[in-house]
Amino acid sequence: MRRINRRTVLRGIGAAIALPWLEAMGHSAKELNSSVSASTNRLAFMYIPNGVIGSKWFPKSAGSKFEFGESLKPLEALRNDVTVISGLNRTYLTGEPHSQAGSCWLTSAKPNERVDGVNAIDVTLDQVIAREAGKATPFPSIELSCNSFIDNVEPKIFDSISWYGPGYDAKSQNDPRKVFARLFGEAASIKKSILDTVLEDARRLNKTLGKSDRRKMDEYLNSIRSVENRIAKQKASKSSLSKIDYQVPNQLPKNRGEYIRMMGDLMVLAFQTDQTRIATMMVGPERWETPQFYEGVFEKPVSHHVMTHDTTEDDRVAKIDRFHVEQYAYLVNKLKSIQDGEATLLDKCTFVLGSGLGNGAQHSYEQLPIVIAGQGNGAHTSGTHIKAADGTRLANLWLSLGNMMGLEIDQFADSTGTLDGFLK
Amino acid sequence: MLLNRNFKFATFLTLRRFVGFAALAVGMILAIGRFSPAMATLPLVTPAQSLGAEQKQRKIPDEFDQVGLPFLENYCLDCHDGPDGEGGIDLSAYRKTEDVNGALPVWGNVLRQIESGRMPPEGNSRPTADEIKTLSDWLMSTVAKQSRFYQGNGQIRRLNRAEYENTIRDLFRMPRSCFNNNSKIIQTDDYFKPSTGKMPRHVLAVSCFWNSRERYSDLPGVSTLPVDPPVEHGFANDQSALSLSPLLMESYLEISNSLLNNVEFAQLSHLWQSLFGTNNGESREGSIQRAKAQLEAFIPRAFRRRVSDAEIAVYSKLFQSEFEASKSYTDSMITTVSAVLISPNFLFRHEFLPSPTDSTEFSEKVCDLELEQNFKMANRLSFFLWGSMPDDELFQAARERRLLSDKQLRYQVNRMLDDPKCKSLATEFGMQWLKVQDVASVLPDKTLFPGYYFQSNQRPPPAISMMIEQLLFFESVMVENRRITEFIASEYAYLNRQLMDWYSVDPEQVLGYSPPAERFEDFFRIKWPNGHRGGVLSSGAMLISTSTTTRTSPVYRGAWILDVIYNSPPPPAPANVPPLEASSGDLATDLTVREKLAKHRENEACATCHNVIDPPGFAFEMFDAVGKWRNTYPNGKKVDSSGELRGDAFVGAERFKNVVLRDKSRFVRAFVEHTMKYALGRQLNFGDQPEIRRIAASVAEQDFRFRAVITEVVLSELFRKHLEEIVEIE
Repeated sequence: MRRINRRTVLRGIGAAIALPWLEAMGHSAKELNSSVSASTNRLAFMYIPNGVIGSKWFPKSAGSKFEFGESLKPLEALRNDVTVISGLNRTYLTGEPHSQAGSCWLTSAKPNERVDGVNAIDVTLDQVIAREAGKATPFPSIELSCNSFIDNVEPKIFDSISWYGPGYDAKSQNDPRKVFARLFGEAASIKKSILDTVLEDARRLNKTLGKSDRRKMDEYLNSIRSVENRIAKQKASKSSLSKIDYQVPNQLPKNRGEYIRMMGDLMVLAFQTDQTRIATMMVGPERWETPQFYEGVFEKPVSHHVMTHDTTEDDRVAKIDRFHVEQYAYLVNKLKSIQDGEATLLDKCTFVLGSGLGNGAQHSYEQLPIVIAGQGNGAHTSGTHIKAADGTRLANLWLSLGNMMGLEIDQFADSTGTLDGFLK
Repeated sequence: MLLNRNFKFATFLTLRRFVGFAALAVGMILAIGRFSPAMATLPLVTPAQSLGAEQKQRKIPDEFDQVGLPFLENYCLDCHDGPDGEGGIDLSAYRKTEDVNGALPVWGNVLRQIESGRMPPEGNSRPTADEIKTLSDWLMSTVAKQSRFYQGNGQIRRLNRAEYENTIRDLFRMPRSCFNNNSKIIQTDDYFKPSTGKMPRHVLAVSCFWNSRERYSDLPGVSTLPVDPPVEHGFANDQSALSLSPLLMESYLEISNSLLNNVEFAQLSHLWQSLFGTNNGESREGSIQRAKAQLEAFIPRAFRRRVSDAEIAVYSKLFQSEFEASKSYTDSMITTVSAVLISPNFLFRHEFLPSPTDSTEFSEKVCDLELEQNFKMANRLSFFLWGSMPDDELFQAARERRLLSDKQLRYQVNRMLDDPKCKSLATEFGMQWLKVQDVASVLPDKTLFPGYYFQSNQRPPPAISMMIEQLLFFESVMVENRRITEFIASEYAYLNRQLMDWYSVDPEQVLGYSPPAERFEDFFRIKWPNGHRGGVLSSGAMLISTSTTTRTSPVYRGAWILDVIYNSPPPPAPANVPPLEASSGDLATDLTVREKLAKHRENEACATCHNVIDPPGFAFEMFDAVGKWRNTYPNGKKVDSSGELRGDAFVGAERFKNVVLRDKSRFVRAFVEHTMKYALGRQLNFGDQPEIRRIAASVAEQDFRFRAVITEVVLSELFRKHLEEIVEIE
């Protein structure tokens, strides 16, 4: 089959769906000539559901002398390591306002392209990047969620920001113990002969299937290959992993902060040991109403989503925003404390914090909060507040990040260009 | 594309597939030209059929002029006129029946809006019940003429968590489940004997929430099954929800590994000895031959269909190479069977045909369509009624081509509903229909509702008992083949002592004695002393899961009723809507939630939906946020539980239920729709409506009995039709 390059995939969304891209994209790292140094940067996204209180979040003045708003204050000591971005927008598609906030946050589909029949959900930025940048590591990417509830209460479009394609979510892990076991434990002992046998069976089966069914089979083949790759790469790196000093918790943390920090620690550890270079982490699903205990903020568990829909609660909601920023600051500090050659891990990182909603009370898709920590290996700014021009699209930032990570594309989703003043 | 890959196969697929493509092209053009893809459950109209419809139209006067147009003019066009029509809906563009044919999803939406009372908005002149019926009859006959369209029946989808669990149990002939599944509400099922047609008066509900491990059992050391994402307005077997991620594949590998090497599994499985056991003194060649024979019997059951020799050969080849390397029959067979368990043929629910090796073998087999249809029906039936693979009798009936007649289907439905395996209809379909799991994620405020938590010991909050209450009630309707209208209003329930206290039911009065408070597992069938409770609507599970931590929410309750009881969930609140000011709920401020909602409805944009959503919720205001009876709000005001449902006034839950039951047809239709969604594993579209309405009418004629619903769904065209056709949607 003809090889396709990534540009083709991104341009022709339809083609990306119809083609078994997983097969067609194989073994193309060299051909695409992507820069190795660019791919050693790490990229992480931390997602806050339900928007933020903008008046307490965004700095007033632009440039390097900006004042942190109340909610961003925990980053004060890190001001030279972060870029605050304001003025970014997305397009709201008539329908459920919460689900598309998260599920389409990183989407490569243009708004109004209801790719999966309802939403503009297509392969997300992290996964597009992971296809190439992820080849070097056992895990092309990792997906984490701090959704502590054992039986999920929200459907997957509320609980996933990372997607392999329309309707095909990169299922996140929400149990830190299982994350640890997966990243650093014994790789599942699966015999190659078993994989070969089922692949043969699957190929035979594929011949009898129609097009839509083959998409399901692509999921299957993708999963099998990913397991195969992981086992091979993990075997190679096993010896260094045995030295990891990390206390695995016996039970799930009860408090929000503990939970988020534990998941974040695992992400940092995965970066540090080069198990992966791409990560997404959801603080919780969109619209999630199960009351949570924000230790040190309120005395009782509260429901973040319910509170956002009551404007008399704005001050209390802002405290939750600040609480989330505190956890983020903790992780930024952690990245900064780790040496990576001459620099720190943070310097070789681009760690995005944001939400798919501006104001949660109104389900607004304007004034999306974005903070970026790190310097992307010298690729982007830090220590500044970028005030984007009115109407600037969030996808412009995503395009900048994509280019930075080695994607040779000139458009991502509905981007109109890269984000002014971000990339160096 | 497929046609290039396997020409013979493509030709076999008959005209159907081609017609499907052609129709799809037509559909796509329509979609792109006019309609939002959000409404895109597009009609697949075969050219031949639309031709027929046109010819007919030439002979008779267009019904659109007699029914459609007058209705539009009287009730719709004032607002939905022209490209700037309200809500972006322009109904003036329709001039003849043909226009309607090309836009059935839009008209499905029109009918739904009118039937649910959302349109025309309050304050405008409203159509009479007769007028609505005339409109719906006309639309049904219009749709029925093109009823050949349907969507994605028989698409492949992976087994969901429950199906995987049950299929493993039945495949290895295990006496019970192999997996530690904490989400199961009751771990034992000795009480469940559907063939007796009666649920016991006392149920011992052994549960991990209050019994020690010894009282229930699973296989220690076997990996847990990953949880599937919930589906909004659908069921966990919905094909759209079940994707297969690398993470899940890792779990499947771990599961098959830990299961097949488990000691207890080896002891309990009735299949283990013959499949994995060694024979003393057997020759190498003898072992290989025996393994092949075993796989020939096992693989068709695992794949749940006829399997070609070539397919068996893939696995016996694996056995042979493993056996040559390891010399251990058991180990080699375990490796081989773990491959079977991660084969797509096992993991996916499918209606695959046997795979081709060469075209001759293939075309011979696939030309036997009748036989394939029988096997597909066996799978449909067993996954619908048992949430599991077919049993030997179903396979036998399929092999003998007996499974397609009405008579045989009726027989099988009754046989299968008499089998304890039908419990999955209650634990999966029933519990998901009633959203029972939701109650577990609500944490009522500890200060306001201290009694909800047992702070001194580790006793569970009443939520667990309430979930069991719902389960046992659903099971009793099912097992005793009661009227489905009992879901709305019923004289009995299953309660433990904890719930009797919670609901203020005196155990002395209903039981004649008081069971000890700490016996959580003892559930008794009681007759409600008054009409406040009874049925699923005033159950604790519903009342709590639709409340916030501090107060009741008539909006959530109303939305729950519209969704569950009427299968007409309100659309999500749009973006950029000012929120309802209800911070401290009905506690601190002077306004009750009800009064605040009244303010909300003064805004016309909100009123359209909230006029329909809120009133059913008001009916249950007599129950507080933890499901207890109350007469006053926390601020001291008297509770007002009055409202109006499509012109019928009511006060309180009991009267509200009467109003619902006065016109049973809407509830019955909704119940049939829910059942059909579960049976087909997909969302319904407007094209399904004529058949749904026919089934609902037939259920009414059969005294609203539960089995009538199941039987009619199985006998319906929707459940059977896909067996004859293969249609591509994309």
